[in-house]
Amino acid sequence: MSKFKTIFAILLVNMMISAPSAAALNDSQVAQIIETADQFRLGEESARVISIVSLYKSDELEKMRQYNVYSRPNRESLVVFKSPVEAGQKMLMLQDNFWLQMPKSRRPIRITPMQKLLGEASVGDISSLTWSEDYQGEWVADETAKDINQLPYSAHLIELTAKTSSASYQRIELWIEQDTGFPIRADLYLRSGKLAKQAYFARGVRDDKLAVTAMTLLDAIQPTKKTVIKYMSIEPWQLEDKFYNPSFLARNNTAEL
Amino acid sequence: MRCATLLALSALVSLPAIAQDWQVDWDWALSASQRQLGDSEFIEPSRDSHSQLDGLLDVQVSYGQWNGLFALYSQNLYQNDPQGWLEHVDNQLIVRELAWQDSVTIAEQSIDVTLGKIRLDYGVSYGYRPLDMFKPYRQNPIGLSVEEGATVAALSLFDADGEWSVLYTNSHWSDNEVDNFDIANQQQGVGIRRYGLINLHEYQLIAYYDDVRHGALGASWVSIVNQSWEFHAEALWQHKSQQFTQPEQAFQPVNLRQAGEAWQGLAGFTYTTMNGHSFIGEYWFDSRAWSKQQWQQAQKRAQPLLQSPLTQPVANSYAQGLNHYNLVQHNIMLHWNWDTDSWLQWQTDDNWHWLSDFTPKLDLLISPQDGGIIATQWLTYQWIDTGDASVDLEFTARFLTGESDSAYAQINNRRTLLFMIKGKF
Repeated sequence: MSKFKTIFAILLVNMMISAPSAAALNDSQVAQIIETADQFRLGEESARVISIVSLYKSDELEKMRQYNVYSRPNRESLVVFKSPVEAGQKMLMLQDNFWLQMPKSRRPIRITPMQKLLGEASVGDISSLTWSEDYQGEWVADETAKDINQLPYSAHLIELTAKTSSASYQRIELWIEQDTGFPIRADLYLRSGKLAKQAYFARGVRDDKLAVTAMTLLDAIQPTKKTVIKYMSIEPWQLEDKFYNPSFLARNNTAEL
Repeated sequence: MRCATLLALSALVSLPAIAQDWQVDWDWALSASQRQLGDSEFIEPSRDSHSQLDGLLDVQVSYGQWNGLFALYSQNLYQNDPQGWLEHVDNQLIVRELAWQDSVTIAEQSIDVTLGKIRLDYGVSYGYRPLDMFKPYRQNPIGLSVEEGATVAALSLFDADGEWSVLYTNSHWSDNEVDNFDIANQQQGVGIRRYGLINLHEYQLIAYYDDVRHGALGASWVSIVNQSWEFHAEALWQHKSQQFTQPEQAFQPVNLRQAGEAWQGLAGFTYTTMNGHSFIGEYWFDSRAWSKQQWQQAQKRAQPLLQSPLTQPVANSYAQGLNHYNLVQHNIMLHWNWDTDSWLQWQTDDNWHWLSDFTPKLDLLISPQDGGIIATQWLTYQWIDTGDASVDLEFTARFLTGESDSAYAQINNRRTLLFMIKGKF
């Protein structure tokens, strides 16, 4: 199903680019472009995403984290923290409801959207792999955007505004390649309006298809900091419904998740 | 009980070092503490201070549907009075949890089963958790603390809105050292619990019958009202309770007795700011604790009794009032912690970046009726964190302050300073 969706979306994007280049895109065209970009990132409606996060300071690797994220439609996901220093920790997200389960504890903690935003930043960056559910998009301009290797691409600049209280960033400026709908880079803004990070998306192949295989985040406030998120595996995955039940959080061990 | 402990240890020792489906997570900690002791109306300690070094090695082992959590807890690796290294050490191997959890199909219905020793913590609060009702836990601990579960057999049915469970629990298996009050509260019983989620709100209802409380009803509610505010409440009513009762006659000691019905109720909130400051405020009432009048009476009676060696044990017996799960009936908890990383998100000045490894925390436990205050502050420094291993340093200070005739002033530990190094791998 998702394959057809991707092909359809790419066709649509191609049809759009055959239109006069400076023309503004309407809301439904923008929504379609964002969905296409999402497809390059997640590609599945219900999936298990294994991410390795490397945090650098002054280009030296400071620490690493592994997160296994089980996401499904309607903004529901279970994040399982796999690194030895966090092993056993879980975060459950059901729309704007959040629960945190600490290691070696049987007490799931209900947390507010603000507490979720204050948690380790990379959790927010790995836990949501789609923009279309959390943000409203608006076309700004067509211009040239450079990827992390300084290669230029003709791109749509789309401005995304958070439509949920728990979105990690209030505003995102997203450059999407006109030819393919592939995301090139993004500027991520906090609620204060301050630019927090600049994201660059790496082109790779997953299941013989073009896909985002990594994301590099340059910290705009603390320029010595850099985060590289590698998507080691994204595969269709259906967890039983009870795994998305807050009451189940305290009882399942994470060895097999 | 020792057999069970040895069995658990042998199971632990026989684990293969690396196997794909095993998950083994280690924690370790060393804690050095110095306690300043002071006289109370009930007890005059024989020394002014006490220092000790404690250690903890804790491992969680998961395999398939089995989960074990074991701790080696060594107290008094060093102590200053009488002084000695390893001479007075008290080693305890504690089976914190050892349980099997899986699902079975009964009449085409998937039922989740729990069998074994496990914690069932249904409380939703910070300062006191009335619904953690099956096994006592240390409230607001500083330093090392090892919690263990009750023996549990439970069946759970998860539906779209929550969970139904029926459960049997038995709290007699304790590897931690327990006092007479804990022994008197060791229970076994059966009950039913409903957990539900309605939009942004969660509730719990619990009905439980055991051989100590002879019937208990509990409930909780949690609501997130906007991005920053959370409100919670929980309450427990019990038909019978264990209480330390003050005697009719002045020369008789305080006794532990079965008393009538009792209840505990708590209401509180959490508020978090964009700059990383989190605040918790809670008020709770516990009818099992001594009232202000009872504390005043206890002090009035114990004061003259403490003067004579013959009546000193009677005066000492009043200190048992401090063993209740809450020292006073009316309690207020104010908590603050600061996520410095979040604050730094807003700072462009590089000079403050060292702050990101520090986390400060403060608790104020207040007894509003008699003016007692217990202030605890923590400062944690994240020294090493590679992802594979981490080491934190933590300094904690606890002061008992407020009115000199308050219930808290009857605690002999007036000030505790504690330095801890702890790690994970």
